[in-house]
Amino acid sequence: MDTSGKALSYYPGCSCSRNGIGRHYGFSSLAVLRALGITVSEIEDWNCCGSNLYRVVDEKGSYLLGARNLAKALEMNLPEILILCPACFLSMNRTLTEILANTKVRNEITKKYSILGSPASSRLRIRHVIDFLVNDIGEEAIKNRVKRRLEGLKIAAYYGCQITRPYSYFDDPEFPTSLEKIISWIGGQPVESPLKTKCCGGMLMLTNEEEVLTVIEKIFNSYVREGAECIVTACPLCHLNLEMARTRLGKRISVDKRLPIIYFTQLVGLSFGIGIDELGISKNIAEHLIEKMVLTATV
Amino acid sequence: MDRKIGVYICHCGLNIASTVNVQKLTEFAQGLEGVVIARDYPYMCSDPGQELIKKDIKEYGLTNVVVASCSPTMHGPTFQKVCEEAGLNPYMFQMVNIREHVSWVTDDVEKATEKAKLLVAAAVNRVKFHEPLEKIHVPLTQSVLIVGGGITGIEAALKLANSGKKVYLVEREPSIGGRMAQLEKTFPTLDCASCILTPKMVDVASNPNITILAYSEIKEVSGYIGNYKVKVVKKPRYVDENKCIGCGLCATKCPSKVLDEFNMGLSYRKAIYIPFPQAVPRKYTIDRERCLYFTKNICRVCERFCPTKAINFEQKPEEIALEVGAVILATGYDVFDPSVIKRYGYGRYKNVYTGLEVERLTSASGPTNGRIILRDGRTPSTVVIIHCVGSRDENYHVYCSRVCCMYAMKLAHLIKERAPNSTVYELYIDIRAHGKGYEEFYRRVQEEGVIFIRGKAAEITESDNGKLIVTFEDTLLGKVQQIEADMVVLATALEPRKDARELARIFNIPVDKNGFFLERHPKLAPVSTVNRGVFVAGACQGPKDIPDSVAQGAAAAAEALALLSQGVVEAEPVIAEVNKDLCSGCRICISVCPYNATVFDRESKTASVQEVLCQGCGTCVASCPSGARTLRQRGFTDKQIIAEIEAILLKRFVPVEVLITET
Repeated sequence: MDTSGKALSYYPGCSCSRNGIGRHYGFSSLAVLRALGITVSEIEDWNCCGSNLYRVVDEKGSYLLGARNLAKALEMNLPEILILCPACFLSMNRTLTEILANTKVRNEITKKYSILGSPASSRLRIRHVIDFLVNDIGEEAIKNRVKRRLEGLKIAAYYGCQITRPYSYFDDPEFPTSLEKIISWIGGQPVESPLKTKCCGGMLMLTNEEEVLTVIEKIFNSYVREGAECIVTACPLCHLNLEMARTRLGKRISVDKRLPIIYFTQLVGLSFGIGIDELGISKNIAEHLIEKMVLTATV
Repeated sequence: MDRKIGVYICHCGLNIASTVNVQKLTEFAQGLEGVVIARDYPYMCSDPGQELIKKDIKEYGLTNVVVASCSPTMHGPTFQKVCEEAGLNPYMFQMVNIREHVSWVTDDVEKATEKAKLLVAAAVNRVKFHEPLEKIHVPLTQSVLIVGGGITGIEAALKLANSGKKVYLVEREPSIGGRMAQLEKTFPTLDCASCILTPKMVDVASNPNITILAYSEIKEVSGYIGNYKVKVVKKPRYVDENKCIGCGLCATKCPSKVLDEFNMGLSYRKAIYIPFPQAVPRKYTIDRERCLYFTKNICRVCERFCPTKAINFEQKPEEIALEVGAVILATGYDVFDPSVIKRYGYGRYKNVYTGLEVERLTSASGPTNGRIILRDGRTPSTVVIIHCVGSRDENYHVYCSRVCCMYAMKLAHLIKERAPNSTVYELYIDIRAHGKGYEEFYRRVQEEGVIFIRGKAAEITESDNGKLIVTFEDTLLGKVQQIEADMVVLATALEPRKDARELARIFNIPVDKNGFFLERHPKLAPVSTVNRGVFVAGACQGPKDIPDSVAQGAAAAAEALALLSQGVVEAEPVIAEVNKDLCSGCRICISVCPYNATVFDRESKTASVQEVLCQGCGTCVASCPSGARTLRQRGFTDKQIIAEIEAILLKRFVPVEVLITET
């Protein structure tokens, strides 16, 4: 697909913004898109996505928060919104679906943001960065951009629970394969785990740590069994939980302490030859990965 | 012609009388011009009601009868028969629906009565232009085509052949036998499937009235009830059926191995093969896709070794033309492909099987000679059977596949028998053991130690030690639980054949919302279709077990027999007719006819209607550029319809000038 000159609005959300815990996910995604010739414009003065947790206590309030972001994107005339964080992706999708399908919600929302009642609102699309890379950019463009093929590196993709559920329009909800595609395009060897869409424990890490550790232990074991040399994630919370659990599980698991757990966009950026500072990868991790790789320059 | 019209208003108990003022309606009808007698009666369709009409026809010398009651599809034929028995042409009758169209759709007595008045007035106006019509009679070809050589088709073929009818049995695969040939034992009696099926297959082969056209498919059908012309394509076996003696030497020498579809891909066959040892006809077939001669232009070993020189690489598809009076479709079912349910991992985990695969494992002539062993040679110690895979599921098929509970229990029994130390779990939603002896079998399997858990499996994952972890909610305990299993069996749904819609199109019959062939009536005409010469039987009409399929096969044979033994077939005369003197031969009517009933007569260069094919839909009549004089619909002429409309629109209950005159 010809994506040159394609313009999207970009919604970072709290975690992938400049000071968020997932800022490296944000930095690396933008760097990768830049390398592919895609410019995204951050939604001006964006706010919270409406948060799935907040929706439980105040549904209308949550939709109003999400709707403000949608309205801003429409005002910028960039109705395709790129999102990285799966929780934001879910929340904004939910808001958009409700506005389009639920008359009561639509009436409430358009009272406040009239632009969402205009015909232009039918052009609003929530796009996850995985979806965009696989289905819009595509195999050829990504392969062409690769500078270092990650030849022979065994890479495990961990999706977490929210990317394809319940909004599964770009991949199978139970057994997605998009990340594996990207991994193989940049020369890596994807390894499978039946637990790749299992919950990482989420917020339970704060209140019931032991339960979360039990869950993540199984996830780690399933990847280690397949000989994974690197785990990539696509969610700031999954990433945080995996990192924390590895330390806390300690000797309970046989995971190499140096096994890199990074965002998939960081890995893609590395294969594109983007500098580690720009991608937010620590020197240790980069060295470890490069050590494992057979470096080959592409034609 | 002076019309003497009788009008009969039915109360239908309180169905009509509670909403329509039938007394007022009768008085009104009595006042209409041409009406000599109007009566009301509680049940017009009852015996005394019918007698009333007959008596009046004779007494008053009625020329037309109007009955205002229920839907004409319900009792139209009843009252037509009444007229006929009293000596009146049945097409001089008109029915008015004041139940479904009036009393059932409103509570307002006044409005209902007014509407009923209008409809009765319209009908009275209409019948003045009715003309007597004669039923059409055509002879029947005394032979039957059966599509599908499974147990259903076999049963139908034998019944018809034994009654002296000629039968053509068309089967797509190289052998007849169908799905039942793949089964080891049958529930609930645990009969050996082959032992009860193969004698019937042999009977079919030896019956002089049956012609088996195996490895053949239907290409085209034309004609009409009693006189179908069918084109069948016989695919090339590359083996001369007349010369092949079925010795099998060719297969022993053939170097090319192919996954065996009869064994669900669990073993290998050769590129020249018979699907199973008891195949009928016992003639070998070359698999063109895998034959080394066809793929690489080498080998030809079979040709060298064949003692009767039966191999013929030059064989071409052969087209066979058949003429038959009736058709029975018995094309069976396909098995649901569970790999689309990603969370069960079929196709990813090697120890997740479908029911039919395990059926082949249990078969004495199957890939493991009847031993229950996994792909790596181990005997499973824990087996989980998951019910309703693809059935009763909004995401796949909403219907119940009817046989899965029972075959799942049969497999559990066989696994227990062949691997006595194994633990077998059945994860079910509800147990549906509805047939004779089925509930008893359910109890027997429970007593044999099979563990039944109510709950649908959520997902299957693989654990560190390579075992399958089945996660499910035990809905009786209300708890999420897990079982570590060596083998998981998916009781997959039955679904319509992939090409069922295509076949339905060829035979001009509808399919239901799931894609199964649609019967004419679910209870009263279960093997008939709207195409009167085409019958359906077995699982192509909906999921069925063997007893039901056999019963339907026999029922379809009886229906076909009842049709053929009439000698001639009677057809409705309410169809289109062409005035050849006025037809310009533009052929527009031919292009619009959905039944291929209008054809071009080359001799007279005009359109002509094949009476038996025409269903009287009226499409051609509407399309004719030279109007009603040229193409006219009997029973729905412009005069009749306009008279009816005028009575309603002009709200004049006196005869109106008919604006259009007809020749």
